[in-house]
Amino acid sequence: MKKEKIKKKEIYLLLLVSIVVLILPHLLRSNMSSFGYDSYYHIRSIESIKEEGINQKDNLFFGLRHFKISPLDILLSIFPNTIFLIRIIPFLTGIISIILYYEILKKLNPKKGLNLFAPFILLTSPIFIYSFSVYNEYFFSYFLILMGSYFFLNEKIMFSLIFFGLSPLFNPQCIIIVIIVLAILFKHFKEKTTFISFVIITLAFIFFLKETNNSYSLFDIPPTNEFISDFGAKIGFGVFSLLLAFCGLVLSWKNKKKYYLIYFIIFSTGLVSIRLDFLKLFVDMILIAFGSIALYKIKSLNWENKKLKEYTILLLICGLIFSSASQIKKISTDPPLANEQTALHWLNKNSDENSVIISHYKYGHMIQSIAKRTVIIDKLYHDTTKENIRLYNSTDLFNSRNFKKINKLINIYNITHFYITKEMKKGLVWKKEDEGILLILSNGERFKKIYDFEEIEIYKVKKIEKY
Amino acid sequence: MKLKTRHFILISIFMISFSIRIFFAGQTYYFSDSESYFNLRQIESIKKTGFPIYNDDLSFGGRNIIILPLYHYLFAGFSFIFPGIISLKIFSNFIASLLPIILYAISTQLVKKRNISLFSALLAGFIPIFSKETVNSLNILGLTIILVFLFIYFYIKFMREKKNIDILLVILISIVFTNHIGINLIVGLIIYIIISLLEKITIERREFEFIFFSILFFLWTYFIIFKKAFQIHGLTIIWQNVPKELLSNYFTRINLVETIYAIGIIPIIFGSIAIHSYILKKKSKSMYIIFGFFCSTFFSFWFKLIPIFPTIIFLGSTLIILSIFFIKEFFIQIRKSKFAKYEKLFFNIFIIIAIITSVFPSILYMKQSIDNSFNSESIEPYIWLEKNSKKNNIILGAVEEGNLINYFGKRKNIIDTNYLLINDIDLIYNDTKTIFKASEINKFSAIRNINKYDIDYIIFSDFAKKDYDISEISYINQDCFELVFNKSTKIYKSECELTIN
Repeated sequence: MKKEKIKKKEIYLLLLVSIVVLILPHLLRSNMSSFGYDSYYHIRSIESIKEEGINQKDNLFFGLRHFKISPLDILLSIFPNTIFLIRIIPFLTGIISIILYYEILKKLNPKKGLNLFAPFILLTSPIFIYSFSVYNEYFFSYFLILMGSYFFLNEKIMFSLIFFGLSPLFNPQCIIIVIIVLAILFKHFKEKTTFISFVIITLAFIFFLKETNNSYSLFDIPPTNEFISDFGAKIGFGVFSLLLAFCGLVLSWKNKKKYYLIYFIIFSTGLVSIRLDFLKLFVDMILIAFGSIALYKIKSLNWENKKLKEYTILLLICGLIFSSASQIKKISTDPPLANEQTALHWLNKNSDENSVIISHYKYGHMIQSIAKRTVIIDKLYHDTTKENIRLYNSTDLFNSRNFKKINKLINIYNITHFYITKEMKKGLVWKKEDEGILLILSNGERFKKIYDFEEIEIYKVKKIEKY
Repeated sequence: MKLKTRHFILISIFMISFSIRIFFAGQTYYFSDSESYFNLRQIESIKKTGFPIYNDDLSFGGRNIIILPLYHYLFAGFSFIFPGIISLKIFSNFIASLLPIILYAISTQLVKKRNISLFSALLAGFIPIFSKETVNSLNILGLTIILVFLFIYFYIKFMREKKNIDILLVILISIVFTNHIGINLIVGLIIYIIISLLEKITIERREFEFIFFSILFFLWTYFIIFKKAFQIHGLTIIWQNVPKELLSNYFTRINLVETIYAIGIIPIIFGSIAIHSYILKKKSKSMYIIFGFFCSTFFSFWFKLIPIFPTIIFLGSTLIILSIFFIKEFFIQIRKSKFAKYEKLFFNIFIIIAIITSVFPSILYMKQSIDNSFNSESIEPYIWLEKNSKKNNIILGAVEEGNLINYFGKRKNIIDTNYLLINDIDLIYNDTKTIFKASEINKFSAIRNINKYDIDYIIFSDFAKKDYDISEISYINQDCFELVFNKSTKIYKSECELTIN
């Protein structure tokens, strides 16, 4: 009875904290737009399903392309108010995921106290906060995997298999996580399956890496500001949770035989996750479990100097909160910013419906969604198309000062407008003020600046039959 | 406490070292390096506003600065009571002169032989390179080294007894807010733990607790202070964003013979013998602490994380401490041999060698530092700029001149020695290099860069001649560049503009 009461209290506390953490990016955001440029593709996708059903042609992409429909988009198209849904769904699944994580760890390791630390550390994880604040490709798959694991541990295998089975539908790449999780769970119930689990995970990894066809070397580590949140990564590990995890791993070394499989998983997925964002949350969840062991040990050990113990725990908590606070701030100020929206609304009102806009690919979905104009390249094209001819062409166009070449490229794609931001001028495309086509845009006769407000410029291309 | 002979000797060493320093420092009003003028600006800003300059309008034409402010606050506080540059010099030398007292204290903890400890104090009072670098400058290194060895002293005491944790915490916090080089200390403690564990020496739980806390504290504080720099530079922040071309020269401006001369022969020879003969045989925790710090400094230099001079100073000081183990052992062996009656003679010989190889070089180095200090003639061009240029003018000088342009000229520079938080530092460095080194043929790229950075004046001084290995700027002509100041240093007013027709 007493145990039940304590458990309830823990869950209420967890609920409260997770609501606060996950709602903060929304509360701190000054405008009501969705987070990040990528979510605009889903907004368009959902609205297109609402209007014209599944399997629609993407009319705002130059040439032929169909929407890459995700099952979640179809699900959400049933409900009204797309922008609200895009913001609320990650939030709700995030809260449930935390509770599931807590319950799963409790089942896996019933040691009192230890399991409570892990979900709280996870709540401070920059990766978790990002995954369940910004509408992305993988958050729902994680939610389903956690559901599957929960039911598996509660021996409701049928339910579990349904959730595990559904998960790759929402993000096919997540199949690797499903396989690893199942291998861990099997090993948990039957110690003797360790070797088989090893083999399955290794084979799955080999197959996965072959399929994803990544050209980089696994050991070619990118700069830290691409995978450490405190160093500026958008989706990155927190330094203090890594430090705690390291301590936890060292402490677990005493029972190393028990953890061989987990060490292997951390090492292999850890290396790959540096490049593949969707794996980061999985690695983080495992590392945090070890981090909680370290925190529990620090708290429960009898220190010679009590003051130092208090300071140490305080520093650790502050460090964890520090990472999460900067991530919340980062997300809440995530683009698109008000000036971008204003410019695109203006473009919508002041351009022909058949206009074709060229800009950096990351602005593509936003231009399609807000200005409702055709683009040549967008993030989806960049991520999925192997023959990146349009990317080469756009780079050529941006960097060229050769009139012949510029006119040729403009004519190929019927480009009518250039959408140029401050970010593009400050390193995203150009480094100098008059680099490449920038000099021609401001001086050439074929271009007219029609919009210049709050560091966003729009140039109109004049129609000339033969130049 | 009654003062004993050894205390008088120690005070004498301190006083002699301090007096010689003051004698030299007092000979000039100016400092010997441009970095001092950066620190002076920070101190003056604290005196004026209560805060260091975080948004510097002059450096790199306007930028944010990350600063660890304890040194500047301490000096600003002192300067409030005793204003003037000379008093700052006195205070700076006073702090640097404390080193023999601290090394004496550490030595007494380690060997309990007063005369050997006093000998180490003598060596510490006259480390040639330390004297040179701190005698006539506002160098943060002076305070850092004092704090680091004070930390080591109290840590050795803490290791033996439970006391002193509060003092240790205060020193730790002071180091964190003085100089990032202090992180070597933490790495040194980690190396100490590793060696102790390998040698199966018990480490007290309180030591683990303290070291764990120290690591966390360092990490946490630096993540907050350097957050922006981490985001811009990533982990390469450890190289302080020094331009790649400078990085290779930045650390190797001294050869082996110079290094021996800069540290002193006795610490080098005796310290090295001590490392070789006793480190792993003696199984002494105190020795491992010193050795851990020695290793961390050495590796930091190896990976180009700290420049050459701080490295030599830290290594020299640790070698002095390590050498006392050899000296102690040496006299134990002497006493056992037939030379026992010559013990005093040997000790006196050591003192004479120390005077010849440490004290005299130290004095020579100090003199050299004073001879090379700035003087009214070398400062004149910058003062001319203040009087004759407009407030928003941008001045190009060599890298080391940047701080002088800011301090004396009160004008914006293009580049100086504080590289942190600067995007595309290599581009800026190469652009400025092009401006100085371009030949007549590629003068357009130089003029394009002059236009790009809106440069109004170019200072061509000995710094530029030395840094870029040139005797003149070859494309300069009267049509485009007006010679407005013509002495050993020249100042050109840029009137050139590239236009596209």
